[in-house]
Amino acid sequence: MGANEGKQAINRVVVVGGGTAGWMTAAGLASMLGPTGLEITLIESEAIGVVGVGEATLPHIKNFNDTIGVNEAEFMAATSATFKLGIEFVNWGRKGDSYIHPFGEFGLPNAGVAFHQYWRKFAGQPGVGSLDEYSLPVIASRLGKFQPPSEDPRSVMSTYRYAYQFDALQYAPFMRSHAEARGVTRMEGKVVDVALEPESGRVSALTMDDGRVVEGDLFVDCTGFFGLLIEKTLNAGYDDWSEWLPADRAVAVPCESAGPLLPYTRATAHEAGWSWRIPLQHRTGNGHVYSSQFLSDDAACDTLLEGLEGERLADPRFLRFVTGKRRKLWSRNVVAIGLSGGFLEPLESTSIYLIQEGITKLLELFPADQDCDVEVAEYNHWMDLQFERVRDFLILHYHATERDDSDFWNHMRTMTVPDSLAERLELFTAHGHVSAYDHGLFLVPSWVAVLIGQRVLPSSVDARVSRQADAEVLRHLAGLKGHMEKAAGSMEDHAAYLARNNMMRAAA
Amino acid sequence: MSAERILVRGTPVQAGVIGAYLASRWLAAGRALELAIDPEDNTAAPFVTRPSIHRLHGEIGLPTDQLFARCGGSPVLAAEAQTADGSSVQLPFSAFGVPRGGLEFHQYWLRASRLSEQADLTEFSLSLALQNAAHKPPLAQLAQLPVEFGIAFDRAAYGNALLSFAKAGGASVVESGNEQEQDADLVIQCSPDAGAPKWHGQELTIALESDIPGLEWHHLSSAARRFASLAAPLSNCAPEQAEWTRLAVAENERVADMRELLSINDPLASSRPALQRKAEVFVACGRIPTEDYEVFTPPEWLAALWARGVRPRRSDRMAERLPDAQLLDWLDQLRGQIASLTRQVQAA
Ligand SMILES: Cc1cc2nc3c(=O)[nH]c(=O)nc-3n(C[C@H](O)[C@H](O)[C@H](O)COP(=O)(O)OP(=O)(O)OC[C@H]3O[C@@H](n4cnc5c(N)ncnc54)[C@H](O)[C@@H]3O)c2cc1C
Repeated sequence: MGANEGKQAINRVVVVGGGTAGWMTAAGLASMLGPTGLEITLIESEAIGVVGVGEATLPHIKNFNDTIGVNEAEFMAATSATFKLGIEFVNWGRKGDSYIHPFGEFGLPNAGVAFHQYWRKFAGQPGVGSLDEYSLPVIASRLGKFQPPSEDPRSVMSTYRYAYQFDALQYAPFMRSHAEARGVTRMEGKVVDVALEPESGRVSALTMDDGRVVEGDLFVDCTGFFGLLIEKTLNAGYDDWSEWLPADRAVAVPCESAGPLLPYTRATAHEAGWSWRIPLQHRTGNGHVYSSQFLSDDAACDTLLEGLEGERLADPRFLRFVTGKRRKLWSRNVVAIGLSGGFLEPLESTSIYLIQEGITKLLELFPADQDCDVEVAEYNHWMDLQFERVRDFLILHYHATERDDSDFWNHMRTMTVPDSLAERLELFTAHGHVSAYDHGLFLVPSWVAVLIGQRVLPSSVDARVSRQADAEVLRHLAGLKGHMEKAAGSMEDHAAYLARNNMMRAAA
Repeated sequence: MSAERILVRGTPVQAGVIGAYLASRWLAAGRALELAIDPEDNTAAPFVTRPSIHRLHGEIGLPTDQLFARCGGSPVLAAEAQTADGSSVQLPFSAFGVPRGGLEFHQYWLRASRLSEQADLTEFSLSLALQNAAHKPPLAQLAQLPVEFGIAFDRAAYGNALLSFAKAGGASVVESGNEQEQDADLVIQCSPDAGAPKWHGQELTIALESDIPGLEWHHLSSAARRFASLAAPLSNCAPEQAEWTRLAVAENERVADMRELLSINDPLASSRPALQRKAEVFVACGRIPTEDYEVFTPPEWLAALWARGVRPRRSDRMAERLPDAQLLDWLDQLRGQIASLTRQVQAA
């Protein structure tokens, strides 16, 4: 006898929304739980459409794809994808600055001391160069090279990971074909009414615009900024973080590709926000994220269009959002995944990662029946932590700056940051130590990349650095730099790699 | 650069762990390390280390196999702790069974036990089988097996070996009472009665606990490693002090959770939020959530919850992907493999 006998078992999941979040969720659930008899239905409305942005990812997406059995070459070709080794930040610490936050390490630790500590001691000395020069993914990025990392931990080629940049409008359909092949039922149409069970207040059925009624046991709200179930129906509430992350608008436009296919995303800071540049196989994605408190829509659009590197391919599209997260990402029998659950703005490409995290946690805690308050609380606890830790890392980008050329930057530079971030900054600025946690997206090298990239230099270094003779350290630095340069130089040209491995999308 | 001096107070093994690590990872020209030894260590029990010993020895260049031979070493694959009802529980360092398809073994066991009667979950632990075998396998053989292990040493012998190592690395060793306390920039105090760990001003207190074998080792080694990883001038290290204390206190909270789990009558009624979270989620779905800075591994938590009678209401739905017959076969095979591996190791 099953433990859930007599209680309402969960066997029917209804995903509302067919954007990136909806189809990733459907594909994830179908791959992992489809074989157990779980029925999955996805409702999407072509009339409403998708947000259509969200093209840069983090390395974790490869795990997701691998877990659900996606073939990389097919995926790359189907979504016009390119590889991504990191993000270049231009004009953040100061106008004219540029650094890359790579998906990998800086140098190699020595006698237990992090590499950046040695670099810091000798930074500024002839030949030492910038921290970037000791990161294989950074050097490869600048050279436009790509090669998958080695699995041999002794090799310098194992010191990085990679992600993808893909066409958002091609990604969801790719996930759709994957999900449908694993039994997901798709329904086209708009949900116009939501029925709740009178006693429990749980969602019991959805009514579509053509009158069809769809019943379910568990509902996943992937309706994007609409938040149809989680907010419009269940009023979960929203933690507004615009106090620290005041960007609330974006204008996006694609343009023709210009120049070589770069294996990284660029984020260029402007007067009251920043713009992205995401190179895809067939075009470049561009957008300007800004705070309407400090910049008008017209001015934001002008800045974006002036910066385009190729011919514009569509009209600019404006988007609005409020940074923050739903107070409860799982409420009653509704789980919000994707933009319906929250949005911390696109800097550092964390949104699709948070979708993935939501799906993984849902799978881990997938309830047997409606008696699942503990699973719900655990899900919310975990996701709150993930959002908060990402939030602090994003705030750092705006706060760690010397820019004083606009009201926006003066505000960001001088604002009070969350205590958790203030303590980190204090520790790092003293002797370059980075506080690490076990559960959170951004690891020590990421914090180091942004802090040093934005000129937050520790006033001194780890006291163990002095245990090694200066000349020896300098020799080591020179050797390592040469080694990295050589290794990156030996990698294949990014575009050539894609072509050679049948990853290019066939011309239409 | 002005000279800096650290004074460490403790029994031979306590000052030995700290001293060996700091001599290897902190001591340098312009720095002095003095170990003031309290020779009165009346503890008869062996000094049990956790699997992290291999990493620590590797970091500082201590030859584990030689110390094992010289200091009466014996492998430890599970720590044995006492529970509220006076019984003891073994906390294995490695997973029960083997994970499959990204899912932990015990989820499959839970499902299988609903299909037919199964041997207890603990019977599927290679760590426990080896720990309870009449003869422990030699180190070289253990290193080839898929198990994590620590080492139990003769306390005095290991302490003295570490002190010699520290001495060879430049530390000075004196008997307690003969040290020069006045000019120490930092006094590291290894204290069983300290309450909470703390680094403040010129004193760093390591709060030692030893009710669960391996804890004393953990507190000492993690204090030393953490201190070194936050190395800063001792006259100017307020942020490092705060960070050291924050992390050490967090770890102690996790230990307190385990202690409460073992000692409270009803583990589900705990008022400790992190323990309550673990117990509730485990009952609800068999998962064991972790916090930042855990001391005990998931298999140890699983063993402790299990021993205290906490049982999941259900297994993970992902375990249902395996057809019934295949699942039951697999469990049978696994038990057989554990038994035959244990026999082979005994015979060798
Ligand atoms: C400016 C900007 C830039 C971004 N850049 C990045 C990035 O680089 N990297 C990254 O990881 N993320 C990025 N994101 C976030 C990313 O775009 C989203 O996380 C991702 O696209 C998922 O969106 P979604 O599926 O939640 O919502 P949507 O794409 O909006 O999908 C919502 C779906 O719900 C359906 N729907 C809505 N209401 C109903 C209804 N009543 N009935 C039926 N269907 C309905 C819609 O038709 C649609 O299918 C960015 C976001 C913005 C705003």
